[in-house]
Amino acid sequence: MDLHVFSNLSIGSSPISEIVKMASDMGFKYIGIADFNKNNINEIKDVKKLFNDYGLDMVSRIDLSPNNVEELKRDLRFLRNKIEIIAVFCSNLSVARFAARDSRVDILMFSYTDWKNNFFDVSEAKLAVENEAAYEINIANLIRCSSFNERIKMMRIISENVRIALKYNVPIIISSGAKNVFELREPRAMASIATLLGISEFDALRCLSDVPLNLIISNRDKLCGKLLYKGVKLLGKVGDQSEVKEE
Amino acid sequence: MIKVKLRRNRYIIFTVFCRDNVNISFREILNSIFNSILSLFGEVGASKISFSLMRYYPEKRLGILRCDHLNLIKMRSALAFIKDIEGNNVTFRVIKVTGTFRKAEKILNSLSIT
Repeated sequence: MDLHVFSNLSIGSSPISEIVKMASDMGFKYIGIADFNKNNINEIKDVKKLFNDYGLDMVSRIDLSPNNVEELKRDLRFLRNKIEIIAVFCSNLSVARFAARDSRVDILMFSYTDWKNNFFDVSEAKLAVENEAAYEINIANLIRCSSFNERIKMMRIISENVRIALKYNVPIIISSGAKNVFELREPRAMASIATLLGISEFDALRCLSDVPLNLIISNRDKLCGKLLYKGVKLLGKVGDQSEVKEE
Repeated sequence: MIKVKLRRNRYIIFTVFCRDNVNISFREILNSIFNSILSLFGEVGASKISFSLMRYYPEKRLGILRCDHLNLIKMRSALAFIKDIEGNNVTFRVIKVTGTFRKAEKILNSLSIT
């Protein structure tokens, strides 16, 4: 699955129909579309329908890049019950720490271009693991690099982040971050790139399938009110009595 | 006498996604893959991968390439890093990996017909 794709509904350049076809050819089952914002949440249903026609499952995702904690709080309050996946780009330390502490945030994203703006350290990892926030690697950032120097620096930063994430058991999600269909990569290709960043092939495949799938399932349960609280799920109702399973 | 196992190869059947009106030649594919391997793994890495483009049919955009079986992941990542050829956006997709060239050719022929 690829949880991070942009179409021409936002900053991407390819139409949804091309993305759907390419994703289907590449063998994806779930595609996370990150085109949504506060103004176009109503379009989610229409986009989902397009994906369903090809037998794919569209996951609604929003990328937040707040400048301060207040802005992030406001966005989370408004969007959490409407969107399946919320990712936060941590542009400063206070936002990074708050995003890792807040259980409403699913995915943390960091800058790969500069050490100064990369806030994924040991403290961040410890906070993230407590709140089950995942660290995301976008493969397209590496592919897009125009110079060797840029790519070398980026690979060094990501490798260091991956080392910390693996040490503290922070879930890692590998996605493409594609802005057009030619930046989409098939799952095994993304896994092979992840092996260059210090993740074993087995773990890389898990980061592409199991980790994001668990996130989607739990968030969908939360959105439809099945997940009562952590570890307790409502399976169904028999008469007036609720059948509750403890996991 | 100790039997030394010979180096084994893997044959990758691949397809190239690009815009419909774009034609990519054998030479362009070869150069782009080789440059990608060289930039990612250097000369020593390239020698270990022992890559060779065996077949490429420009009209079907299908081909077979060979690499060392221990360096298959490196070969896949080198293919994944190719974003354009001569200014045209492309994506490589691995269809199948086989252990013999005969099998790879058989699959390629069946794909070419369909």
